[in-house]
Amino acid sequence: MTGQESGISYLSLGLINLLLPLLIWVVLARLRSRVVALWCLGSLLGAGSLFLVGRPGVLPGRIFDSASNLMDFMSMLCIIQALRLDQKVPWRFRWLAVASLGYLLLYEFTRQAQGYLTLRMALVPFVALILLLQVVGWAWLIARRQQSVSALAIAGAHLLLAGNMVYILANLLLPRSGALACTRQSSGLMDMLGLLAALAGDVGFIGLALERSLHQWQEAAAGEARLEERQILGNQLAHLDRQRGFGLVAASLAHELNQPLTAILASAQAAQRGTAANRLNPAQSLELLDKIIINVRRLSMITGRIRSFIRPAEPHLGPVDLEQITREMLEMVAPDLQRQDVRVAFAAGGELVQVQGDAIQLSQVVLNVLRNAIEAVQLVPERSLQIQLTRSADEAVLSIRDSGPGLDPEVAERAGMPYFTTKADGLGLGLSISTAILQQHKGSLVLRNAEGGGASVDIRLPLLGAGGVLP
Amino acid sequence: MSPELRSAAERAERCRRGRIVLIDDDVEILAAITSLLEFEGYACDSFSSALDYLRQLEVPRRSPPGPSCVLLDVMMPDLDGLEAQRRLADLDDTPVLLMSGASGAREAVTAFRAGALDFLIKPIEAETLLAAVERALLASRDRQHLRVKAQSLTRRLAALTPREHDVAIRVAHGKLNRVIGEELGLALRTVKLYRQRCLEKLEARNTADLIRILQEEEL
Repeated sequence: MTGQESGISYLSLGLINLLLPLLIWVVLARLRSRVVALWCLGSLLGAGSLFLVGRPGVLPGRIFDSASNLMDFMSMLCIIQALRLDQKVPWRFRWLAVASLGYLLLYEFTRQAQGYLTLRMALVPFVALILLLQVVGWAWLIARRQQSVSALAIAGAHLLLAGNMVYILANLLLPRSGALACTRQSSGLMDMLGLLAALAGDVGFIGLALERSLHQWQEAAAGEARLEERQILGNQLAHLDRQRGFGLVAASLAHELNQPLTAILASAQAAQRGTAANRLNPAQSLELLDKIIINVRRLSMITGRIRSFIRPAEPHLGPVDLEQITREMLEMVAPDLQRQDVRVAFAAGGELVQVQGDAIQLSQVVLNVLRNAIEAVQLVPERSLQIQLTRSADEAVLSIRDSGPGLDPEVAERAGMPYFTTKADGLGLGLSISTAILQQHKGSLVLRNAEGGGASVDIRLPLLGAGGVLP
Repeated sequence: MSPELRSAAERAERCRRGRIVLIDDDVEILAAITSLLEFEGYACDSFSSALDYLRQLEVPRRSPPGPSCVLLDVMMPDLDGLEAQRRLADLDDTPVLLMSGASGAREAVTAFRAGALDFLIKPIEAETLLAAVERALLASRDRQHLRVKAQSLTRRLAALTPREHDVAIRVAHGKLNRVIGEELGLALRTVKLYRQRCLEKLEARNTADLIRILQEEEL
């Protein structure tokens, strides 16, 4: 091979090494990162070095060797650093600079010093071998960790190059005549290997990046699906809890429904019997009909309340008047309050306290807390609830305090965790569902012992227009 | 006749047929059942709380004569029906009917043990209600009748002298005049005389009647 031919082959190798990183940069346009940038920089430096070797006349001979070797060294460092960065264990960049400088000085030293020919000849392939083995090692690690064929291709290509370096070193160091000639003969093979390594390495790198991005995309999709599933499950659970809560008030609701029914039946039958016996004057029958109508309206109010509470699981978002839903839920538990002889003091500031959210889910939270409070005060003779609705600049606080025995410290700590309950018939989901609903509304539930006895629950929600975000 | 007098007369007429004390915390139910009962010709006094009724009982007030019963709701806030029934039973023997919307067997059993005449489940059919009320009023009438009888018997027994009392007891035990005379150390003629006075004072037609009256009093 003549010097001219060898120069052309170096130039074409350099061109390929120049085009490949550009190709990577374009193909991975959407996945550009420091890793990609480092890899491309490494390839470009390699290309630069090859160009220098291919056009020896460009730089003065003195600088030429050093520049070419330094660029090769830095090219390898960049590629190793790219792989290390990919595995989140990069070297410090300033150490890379120090290493490059050290290498340059060492190389210059071997050139200046006399009698170190073998060392000088062996230094470049030896350092290249170490660096190539680094590349092989990291690529192998990535291939193992990520089951990546592309990384395996990178490792394989660089292993071939490393093998070539071993061959060169062996020719240099083993006492055999014509060592230099051998290296020259192998230069055609070296070119082939260099081309192969550049191709396999760069294509492998593109493959690795694409595999990575596909994986991330799959992960993201799966994560999104999980999140959505959790949301649906959460809503269904909240719905179930609502139905259960409704089941708990069902007994008192049955009583409540029975009262107007009793009045209606008695009025209607009074009218029927009175009319049959001709004992009813028009004024009397009108009065009876009025009674029937009044009580039917009473009934429909109760059924309306039930209907609005049992509703599909999907949340409906809008402005929610906290005072209104608190009053509605107090009405819902009114029969219980009456039967247990619980006094309720409800203090609202008089101004509208609105939050953004699902009225039914928030009602459910209020009902859960009220039910807990009513159960707590059953244990004491003096039964009362103090409910307070206040607002600050950006937050609404509904505080429900009971006159019950308060919480054990251990209970206070664990209350609100799913499936924890102190009640024999409880699922232990009430408070955790309430907490979850409030979290979805960017709010919180704080359970603590009140000063002066009893437990206190604070329901905190961002005010409407103060960043109250939708679940 | 003035309206007051007429309404008083009408009330007296209704009370003769039967007076029902209705207690329920739901005013609509009070109004409806009151209408139903009044159309049937009964007198109806309604209270929205058992405590109100008990308080009213503390002030003795004469109502027109006639049978009466109490119709009491079980589920009430300040004093529930079962407790009210217990307190009423301590005061008098007016028959009590209980009514409830969602009561279990336990409440019904408690009510019957405490002497409730019936336990009605809301909503109550008019026929069921009226039949129960009619039975309760009948029971009330019986009890009043017995009470009157017992009262007069007590009064009549009180009219007997100790000697006459001794003789009456022995007659009731079926002892012969001669035996009574021996036991009490009386002449046969005196025994006959006392015996005659007993018949007169206890308003008995004959000896058999005398024995029945005295047995009723469990002497």
